[in-house]
Amino acid sequence: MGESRVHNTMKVQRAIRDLTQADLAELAGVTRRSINAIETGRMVPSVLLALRIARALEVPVETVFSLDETRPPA
Amino acid sequence: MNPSADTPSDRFLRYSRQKLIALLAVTLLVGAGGLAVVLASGEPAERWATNVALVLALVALLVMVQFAVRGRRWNPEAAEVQVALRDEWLRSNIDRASRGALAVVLLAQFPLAIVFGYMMELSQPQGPIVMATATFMIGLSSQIGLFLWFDRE
Repeated sequence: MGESRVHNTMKVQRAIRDLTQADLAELAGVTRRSINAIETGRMVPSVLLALRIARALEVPVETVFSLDETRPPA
Repeated sequence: MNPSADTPSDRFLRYSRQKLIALLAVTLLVGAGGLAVVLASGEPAERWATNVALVLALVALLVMVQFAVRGRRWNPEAAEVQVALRDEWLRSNIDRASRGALAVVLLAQFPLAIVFGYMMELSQPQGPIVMATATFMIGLSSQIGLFLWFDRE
């Protein structure tokens, strides 16, 4: 099994709902900087934060966050 | 970053960052002044070092007063402050800075001991005081500096 990484579609989900990072941050009860850090891959959110973001976007959490397993080079 | 897109929590965090930069400057100034006083030996050097230390301490005090009296007052119970203090990205950066500062302090101990214990030939009370002052200054400034680096936009 390769290394697992968390893939997120937050930016896409925000665009669908016409939300800025600041809007999503206020809905999820976090700072805009956290939203930015998650979207740019600098931070993996906790389960609690992931659930709050998914609820703010009104989608299941699996729609926003998924495992992205990469295969090691042969 | 577009300031008009800032949330109230962003503004609080930016204000806190400015205060931390001032605290870092104060730590370095006071630490350097303290080391200068302790390391100076002999009457003329000691007077010079004491004067330098007093000037550095005065500058540090002015910096602290500037930030204490200017700027907005934040209510610690306010929602934006609570959101900022519970922020996962902030806490993650504090943790990373703490681990980094611990590593810096541990790695600095032997070099400091060699410099202050052997190379400078300090007297009995001077050596431990200089070590303690240098360790404190390195630890605190590393913690603050690393946090400011990790937490940058």
